[in-house]
Amino acid sequence: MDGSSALDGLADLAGKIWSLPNTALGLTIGTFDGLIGVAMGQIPEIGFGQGAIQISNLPNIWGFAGAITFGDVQLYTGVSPTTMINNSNYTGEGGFSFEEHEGGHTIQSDVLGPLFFPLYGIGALTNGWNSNPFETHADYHAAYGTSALPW
Amino acid sequence: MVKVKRTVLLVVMPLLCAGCDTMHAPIYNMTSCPIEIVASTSKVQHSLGTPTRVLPGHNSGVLGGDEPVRYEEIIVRDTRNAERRYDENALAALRPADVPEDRWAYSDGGLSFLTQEPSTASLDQIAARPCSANVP
Repeated sequence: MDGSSALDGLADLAGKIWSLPNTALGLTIGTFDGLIGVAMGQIPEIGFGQGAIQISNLPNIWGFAGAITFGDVQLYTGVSPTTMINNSNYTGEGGFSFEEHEGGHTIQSDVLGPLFFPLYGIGALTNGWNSNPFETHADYHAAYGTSALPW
Repeated sequence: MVKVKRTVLLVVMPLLCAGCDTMHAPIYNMTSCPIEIVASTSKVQHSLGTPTRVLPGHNSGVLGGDEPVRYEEIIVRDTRNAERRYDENALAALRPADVPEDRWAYSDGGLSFLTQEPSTASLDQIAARPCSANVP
C-alpha cells in the first residue's frame, strides 16, 4: 500500500465513522422493515456495494417502490440495486443503476455526517424537490463519475 | 394499541421517505438477451433519452418525483429484431384507457402493457435462459 492509498483508506474510514449516526438510523429502519418482510414471507437480501450495506427485497411500507440511503446503508423496496434508470426526473440523465445513484448519497453522507439530512432538506426547500443539488449531483456522479458533492 | 402503531407507521414512514428515490414506469426485458432502451417522458424536462442497457429479467424506469409517469416515446434495440420505435400514438394504442402510470414488458413480439408486476419467479426464469443471439 503506497502513501496516497493509505491516506484514502484513512479518509474513507473517517467518513464512515462521521456518518455513523446516519448508518445507525438506516440499520434500525432496515431491520424493522426487514422483520416486517420476514413476517410476510418476503426475505430481505443483504449485500455490499457502492461503499454501503445494501438491503433489498424489502416490503413496501413506504408507499412506493424505490430506494433510500441512510449513510452507509441503502434500502431498496420494489427495485434492486442493479435496476436501471432510463430517465431521471432530477436531471433527465439515464443509463445508470439505482445503486450508482444511491452511492452518490453515501459519499455525500460520509462527507457531511450528521449534517447531511439537514442540508439535504435545505437543498430541497430552496431549490425544489427535483432540483435539489444533492439529487442532481448524485445523478451526475452515477452517469459520469463526477463528484457527488453539491459544491 | 395495534391500531395506534399502524397509524404512527402510516404517518412516520412517508415522512421519512421524503428523501426516497422513487421508481416509476418500469420497462421489463422479457427476452433472453440484453436490450437497449431509449425513452422520453413529458415529466422529465430536457430528457436526453440516454441509451440504457437492460439485462434479461431486469427492468429500467424513471427515477424520482411523486407523480405517475407515461412515456412519450420508447425505442428498443435488441439482437434479433430491427430497432422498434413506439411513438406517442403507438404507445396510446397499446396502453389501456385510464391507466395513470406506464408499466411495459418487452418480449420477442415487441412491447406490451403490463397490468400488474411480473412475479419474481418468472423474471428469475427469464434471467436464467441462455441468450442465443450475438449480444450487442
